[in-house]
Amino acid sequence: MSALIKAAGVSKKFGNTIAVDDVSFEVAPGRIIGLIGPNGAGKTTLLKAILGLTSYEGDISVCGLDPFRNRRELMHTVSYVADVSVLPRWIRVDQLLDYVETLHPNFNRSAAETSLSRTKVTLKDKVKALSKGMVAQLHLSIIMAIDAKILILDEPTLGLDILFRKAFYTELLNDYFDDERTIIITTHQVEEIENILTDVMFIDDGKIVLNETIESIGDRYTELMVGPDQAERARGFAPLTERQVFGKSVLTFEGVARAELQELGEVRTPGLADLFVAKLSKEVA
Amino acid sequence: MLARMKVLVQRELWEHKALYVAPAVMAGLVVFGFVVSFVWSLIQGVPFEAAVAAMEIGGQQINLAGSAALIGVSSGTLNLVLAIVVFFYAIDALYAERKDKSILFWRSLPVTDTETVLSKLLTAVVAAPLITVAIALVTQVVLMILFTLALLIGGGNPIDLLWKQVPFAQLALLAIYSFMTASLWFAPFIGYFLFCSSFAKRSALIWVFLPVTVVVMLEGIVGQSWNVLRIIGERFPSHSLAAYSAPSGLEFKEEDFEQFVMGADISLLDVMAPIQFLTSAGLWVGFAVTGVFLAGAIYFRRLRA
Repeated sequence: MSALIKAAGVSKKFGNTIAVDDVSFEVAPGRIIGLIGPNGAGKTTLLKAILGLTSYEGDISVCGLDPFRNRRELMHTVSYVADVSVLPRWIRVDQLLDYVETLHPNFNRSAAETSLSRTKVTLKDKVKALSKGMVAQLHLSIIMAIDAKILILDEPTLGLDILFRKAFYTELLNDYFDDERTIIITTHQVEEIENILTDVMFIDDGKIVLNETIESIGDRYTELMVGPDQAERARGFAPLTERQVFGKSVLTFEGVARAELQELGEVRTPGLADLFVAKLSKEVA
Repeated sequence: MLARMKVLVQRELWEHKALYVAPAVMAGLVVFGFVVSFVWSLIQGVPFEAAVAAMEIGGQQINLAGSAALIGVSSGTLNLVLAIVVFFYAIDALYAERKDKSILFWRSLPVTDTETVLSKLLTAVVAAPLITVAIALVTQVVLMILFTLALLIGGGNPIDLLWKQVPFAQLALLAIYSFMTASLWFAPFIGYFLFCSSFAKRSALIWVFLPVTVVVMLEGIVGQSWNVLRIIGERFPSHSLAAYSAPSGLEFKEEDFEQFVMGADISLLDVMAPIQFLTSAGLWVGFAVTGVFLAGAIYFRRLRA
């Protein structure tokens, strides 16, 4: 299937700082991609470039459109949440729905109302009267009622409690996601989205340091736990990182055959958080 | 397209309630003032009969003076209120959305910066004046009803003494015309305020006054001339010159009334000169300046987001 997003040689500089450094990638339909990186890695800048919110060097095509030049058309097929606390405080919920309904051809008002009916938010509420979590629910209800090809969520659950976060990701996966749609999520709570992702991209210092499907991560990366007696042998396979857990060494390897490592100790596929640490501390070294 | 612009302007009115609340409150105060003085006259036992008798003798002139007062009180006061609320609206329109970060939400919808900025201009130049003029007209009707009551108490015939005398439809049309022409004439100022609102990183209000003050002072000190101040100043009184055929504009002088009363065929509408207004160079220069400021506002809305 043809790619929904194509980025080739994309860079963005702010003065002397390079926020995004010659990044190239493609995104196919029907994927859920986790874009993961430390603060200041360039995640948000890259997303802004994809959304046509900032100028950039290089080429980006989103659903065949140049995001910077064709922003309005782009917003028909791409929806995003830049921040869940940015709904205007003075607006009433029904006014907000009227507004989006008139301006967005792919907005399904009844879907949004159905979704809201499961919350404590009522149509006559003003946004400023809602709690932080309710504002997020309102925002996400609106965004998920938009029939978009691409949904971009930048820290969609920041500052929300664990119950809400779980419920949100379940709804996203069960009610919203399908083969046609692609979702890109950034978050610091990697563990929470790990099991819904199909792909993962690590970004650091403006560069993509890892871009894999979840299945291929298992093929490529291995975590090995060994006792002190085997540690030296394990180190011979050039691990990305090593850490100590309960007197044992945990080593992360890239591109080393699992069968070879299995002889030394316990092997498993690393979690995204551990892999992230391994990949990025490798970069630092 | 129309539905889109309608909801965009609607959005502005949802956010900036002062655009209709302030004129409505002012109109309420004017009516309240009349009611109080009316009730006070009743309590004080002012002889309404004598006043009505005087009106019957004095004839149309008094009534016309009364109708001029009607326009003066309701339109004049409301015009001032409108100017104030539109000023504060325009400097806030593109600034507040950045300050409260709601611009991140607005821009996630398929609405261009051009559409948004245009909707804000339309709100300031068309919607707000139309709302105010509607409030002014309602106020005038209410005041007419009050006068009718006063005449009835005095034993006069309100139809003859008031309703037949006041060319209400013409007054209404003239009110709409004067509000709209004034708005179009002052559009470059609104364009400038919107530009400042979009451009300012901290205080839009400072950007409205500071550059103008600096330029005027520099010109005064270095060039010993006051051209900038003159150009800005000239914009103010001259709007009536272009929009009206009588040089006195809306100033009703005594001789105008006499002439107006004498020849019943002379219409209030004759003072309106829409063609002269629409073909005046000043208006189009103003539009061009407005366009430049708007382009700047659109550019900076995108850049600052």
